[in-house]
Amino acid sequence: MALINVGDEAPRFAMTSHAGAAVQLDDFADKYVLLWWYPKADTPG
Amino acid sequence: MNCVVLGVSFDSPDANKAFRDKFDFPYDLLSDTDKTASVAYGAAVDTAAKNTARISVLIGPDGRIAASYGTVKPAEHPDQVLADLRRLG
Repeated sequence: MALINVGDEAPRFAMTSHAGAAVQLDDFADKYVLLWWYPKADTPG
Repeated sequence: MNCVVLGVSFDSPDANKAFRDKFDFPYDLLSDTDKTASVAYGAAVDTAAKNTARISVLIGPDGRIAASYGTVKPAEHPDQVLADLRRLG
């Protein structure tokens, strides 16, 4: 498993939010986007 | 600060909603149900993975990866990201 490299073009994504809304990278043009992954909902940090 | 924060896992939207409501997170949680985004960013080995790794990635306004964090310690991570955002301007 290789973490994506700094400087690479960010892969486009489209996912569904907790509220059922479609969310994609293109929604946030011109902003910083921090994506953080967690193994499973409601597990301790 | 002009930064959107999004959590990602393989959990269903319903599980994420319960998680978010329980802890009152102020940001959206996304379901990567087909696992393609997690694989593309390096949070999962492949689409057979059961869980994601605890990583995070900062995408810049130019659409490129501005910073990546391979091992996230939750207690320290917010300060680390804020420092990077200040550095990147």
